[in-house]
Amino acid sequence: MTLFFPLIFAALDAEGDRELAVRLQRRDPQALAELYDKYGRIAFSLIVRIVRDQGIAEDLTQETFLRVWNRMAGFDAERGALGAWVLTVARNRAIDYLRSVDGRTRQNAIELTATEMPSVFVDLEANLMNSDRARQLKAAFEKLNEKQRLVIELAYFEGLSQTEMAERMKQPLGTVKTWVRTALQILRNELEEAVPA
Amino acid sequence: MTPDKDLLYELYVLGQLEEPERGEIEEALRRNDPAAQARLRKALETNAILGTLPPPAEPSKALRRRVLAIAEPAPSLMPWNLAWAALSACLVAGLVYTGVQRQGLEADLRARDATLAFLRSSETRLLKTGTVTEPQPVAKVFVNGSQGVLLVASNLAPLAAGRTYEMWVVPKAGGPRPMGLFKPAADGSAIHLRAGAVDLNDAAAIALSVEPEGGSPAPTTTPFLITPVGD
Repeated sequence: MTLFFPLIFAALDAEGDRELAVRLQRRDPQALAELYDKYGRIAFSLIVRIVRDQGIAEDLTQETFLRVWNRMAGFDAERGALGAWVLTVARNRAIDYLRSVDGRTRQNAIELTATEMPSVFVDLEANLMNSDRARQLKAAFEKLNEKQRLVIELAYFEGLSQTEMAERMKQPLGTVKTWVRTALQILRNELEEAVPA
Repeated sequence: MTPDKDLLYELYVLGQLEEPERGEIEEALRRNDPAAQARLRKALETNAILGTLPPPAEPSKALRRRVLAIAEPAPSLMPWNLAWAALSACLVAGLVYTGVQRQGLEADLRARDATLAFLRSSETRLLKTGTVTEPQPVAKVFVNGSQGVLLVASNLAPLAAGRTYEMWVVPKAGGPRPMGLFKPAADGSAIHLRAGAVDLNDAAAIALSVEPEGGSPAPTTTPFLITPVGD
């Protein structure tokens, strides 16, 4: 969890994504190739971290790009953030997979799908994934204590609910909720300090 | 204590928010509440950055070709001579291999007889995904409503212990119908015939998934090598 993508972060800037999105909406196959070259590795890295299986991760990465390709019509090319959308779709595919394997059907499964609608990925910060911001998040992660870091990882990379985390960690639900909320607040505070509004 | 609204949106995006707060947020978003949308965007930003934290992993080069195949035109029928050449090679290899294993030889030959009979039928049609020149997983699917479905695949990923591939007929409506289990050879190739009449009238595609040993009544993993069924 300590390594980053300094080179990829630079590529993840929104610069150039607008034109790419327009070409994707025109069903330009070369645009799909460029989208994959830009975001494929980072999406795959996220998925493989979640499912921990190279072959399954490749299937889910393919599904991620299929979903993005098929839903481009709903994406706002002028205001949209392609990278954030691709990563969100990738995470959701991987979490859905984990849930299906574990037989976990949760109420918030629908919620995950709702948060990957292309139309919501508009007006995100232009340099959202530049390296400064990403390093700031890393710094924030290092400020979390072990429990706080663990609950964020269980939530983000395993898709566990707070109740499921409490069971796994053998801790009271209220304690787990406190860890989650405190961790998120620390992360947000660090990011806000890094990029003042 | 006043609820931290930013935190609620972060929990929402993370899939952690429960009712009634979740419903309240969704209602605000349905109303196109500008404050709700701003908070959602902020939470999405944090979430997206979290997605960049894992260490880099390198996908296979084949994955790029698989992704680019998404944008390819709908597959056309493959020339029969190429299909026969590919299939014959698989069959010969299979026969040579089984020839040194007396146990089960008759059963293997019966299966191959059935395969050949299936292929000889004038009613058998070939569906295809990928192209013969691609080194990534490729499946060629022959369908015959009265005789069954034959899958000829190569470059399939090795299976983990306790897992198997399962073939499905995916209808235009309703859940996928199981079409049998199989495991690939060590080189990733596989020939799987699901013999017997198959209702293909409502079939949209043939697909594979990885399932627990013994198979599943419905896919438990994401189907792949999805081959459209069409004329």
